Amino acid sequence: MRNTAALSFPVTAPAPAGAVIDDAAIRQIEPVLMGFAYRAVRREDVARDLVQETYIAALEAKASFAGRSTLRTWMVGILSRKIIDFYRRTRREVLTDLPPEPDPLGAFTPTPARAPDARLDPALAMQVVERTLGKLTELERMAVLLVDVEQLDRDAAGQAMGVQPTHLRVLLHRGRHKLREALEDAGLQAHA
Amino acid sequence: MLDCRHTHESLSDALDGALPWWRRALIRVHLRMCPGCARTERSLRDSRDALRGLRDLPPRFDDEAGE
Repeated sequence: MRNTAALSFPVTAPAPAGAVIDDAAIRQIEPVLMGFAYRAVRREDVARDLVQETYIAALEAKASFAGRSTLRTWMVGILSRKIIDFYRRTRREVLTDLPPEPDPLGAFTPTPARAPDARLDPALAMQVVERTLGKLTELERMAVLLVDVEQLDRDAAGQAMGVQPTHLRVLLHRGRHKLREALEDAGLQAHA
Repeated sequence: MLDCRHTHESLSDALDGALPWWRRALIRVHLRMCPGCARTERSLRDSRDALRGLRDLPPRFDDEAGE
């Protein structure tokens, strides 16, 4: 499947000096891209299609891969645009929709008292956050995946998603607190 | 001094180092005095650490029904 829309993505993000960008190098990243895509769209068949489209776009655009970021970051950026396009096509969420002012970060409720040792071991915590990612809105999930999982800075994440910094800030705030609450609830249940 | 609401609104920014030093200092002071917000901040960090752990982990393919 050929996707010419890929060429509209500003593929100016650069490659490490001396990096060899060929089919083999790109395919080595497949597990990473599948992990990212699946966590973003929650459907294996769709994730595979998006990763395939990303390969094609990357091979077409490899000449513009210039050396200031890793191949992984560059390809995750391309994949992110594919995922956002998928969200738009399926119209699951109004992508520019922001909550009305003046409270875009959502209502504040004081943190209830919790057992001081109600923390999960790291492996269980990872299971809980991975499961809970599916309960975030699509854009919240993308923001969290890019900034917290892929560890992109906010500027790069906002660029990959095509959202303004203020929008990204709200998405991160909401997504992170949903995950945090799920982790706290799971911790309390585990220690009940 | 920050109250709980304003602290809560800044915790995500603080995780990313997206706050000026004086704001970070105000948050630190509040967290020392407020056990509830301190717990929230710790849970937020735990959650971020768990997310980072997913970075190189293959996904669990369980295509959530009704997504």
